Amino acid sequence: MLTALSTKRLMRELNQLIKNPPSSHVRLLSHETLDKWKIQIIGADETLYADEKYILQFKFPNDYPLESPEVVFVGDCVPVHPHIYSNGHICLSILYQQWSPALTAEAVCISILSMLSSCTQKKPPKRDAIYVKRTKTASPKKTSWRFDDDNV
Amino acid sequence: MSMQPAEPQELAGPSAQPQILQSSSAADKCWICLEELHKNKREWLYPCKCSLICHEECLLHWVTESERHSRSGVVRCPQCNMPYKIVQWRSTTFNMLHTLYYVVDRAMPFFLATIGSMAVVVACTAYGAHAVMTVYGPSEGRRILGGAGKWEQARWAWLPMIPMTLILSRFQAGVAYMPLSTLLMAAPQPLRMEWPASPSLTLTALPTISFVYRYLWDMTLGRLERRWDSALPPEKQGMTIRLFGRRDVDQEDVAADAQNDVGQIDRPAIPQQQQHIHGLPDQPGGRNIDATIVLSGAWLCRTLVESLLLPVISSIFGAMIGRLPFFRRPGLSHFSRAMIGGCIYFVVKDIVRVLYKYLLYRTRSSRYIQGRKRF
Repeated sequence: MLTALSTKRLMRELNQLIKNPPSSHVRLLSHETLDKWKIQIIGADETLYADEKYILQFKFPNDYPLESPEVVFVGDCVPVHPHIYSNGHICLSILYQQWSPALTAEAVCISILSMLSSCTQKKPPKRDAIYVKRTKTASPKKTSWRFDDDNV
Repeated sequence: MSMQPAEPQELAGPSAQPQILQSSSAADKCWICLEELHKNKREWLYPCKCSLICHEECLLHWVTESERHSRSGVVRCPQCNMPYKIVQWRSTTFNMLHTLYYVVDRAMPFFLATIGSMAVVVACTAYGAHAVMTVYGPSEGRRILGGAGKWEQARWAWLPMIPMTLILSRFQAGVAYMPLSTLLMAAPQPLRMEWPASPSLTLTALPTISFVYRYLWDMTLGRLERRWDSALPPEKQGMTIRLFGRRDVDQEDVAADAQNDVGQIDRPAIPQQQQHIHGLPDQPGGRNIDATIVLSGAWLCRTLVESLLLPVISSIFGAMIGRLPFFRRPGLSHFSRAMIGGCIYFVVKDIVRVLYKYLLYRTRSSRYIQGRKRF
């Protein structure tokens, strides 16, 4: 059950996203329930991912925004990126330890877009196969992430 | 960046500094619940010098949540990084209790592990005591074990080692030489060459006897066994455990190797060629089979159960031979009979296995399909 705080906050974020989308590269696809959204992001122009369409799935925990949402890429294609595993898990500090309620779903989308934009080489993370085999469809929040690459 | 199982690390990731991407209108919203200023009459807080404002209630929630993740207790503004000044009633008793609960929670897994391993040791001790009683017989066994009230430390040490030694001694020729010394400790008598042999003499000699027996077996019936084995298709393995060796040497390779062995009997020309190919050093997926030990689950279970049942089996065989006139002499102890019984069990087992393999081989090689034949 979502708490009163999370319900109010999610309603406000949803309204904001529908009324004033941050850019044409971020589009809300669906929100079957208040705590599960799908957002389409389109790679920024003049980057390696220009015009490529990907779907992000947000699952909001009951004590959102105190706890971070679970964000993964879903659908047939997951971007090939050094920080994105082929099961859709994203290695991005703000989704885990560095989360703060000052961030929103919209801000997360923009962060991910900027992560894609600053990529210089499309290649999967190291030991992708091992990681994917071990985690399968488990929540990425169960992984103990280590963030050691500031470049991409 | 990659996943790393439980290892505290300095956090510095892509966009490690939380980006505040909200528009300037964020200034008049609570940064936690996003409610706009002046919408409801609630208490607003300006906790730091930057533009982030919030409800005090919301911020208290966030402080509590943050406390669960960090024990330092410092919560900072996500935008200007200024630590929030948290004022609360302080009590030494509370702090002590808090630390106490924290320590107890952390120590719990260790307690559980200790209790678990103690349970295993107790079970092993009970098993060891039972093994001593079975092998030495009731009267001698009771003398060795002594009264439960006055066990010396040594007994607590060697009794639980009995089942472990029984199991370990089955695994490698080298380990087999680690004699059943734990059982030996039960009989602290001087070694004397005598007949019937004393328990210490028997147990000391047992690895040697076993080694000599294996050697003789390999020279005689073992040869026949291997020949029949190689003529038969390999046993279907259920669950397999790979102790070491390369991953890509798969079961297919094992099967292929067995095929080669068959080939060596029927068609001598082809295997030689294959040997040659396999012999090339740069052959991918080549002959690393030597370094691979494949334990089938069934074999493992059989060996475990057999090792643990060994005292009982020996004593049953011992009791059986005790009925024969030669073994009925009074000088022969229950222990000696059990030891001889155990040896007989192994010999009988080996002979039965060879018989089975022979019959299997006969059955298979006599097999043909009825029907009209034409050349």
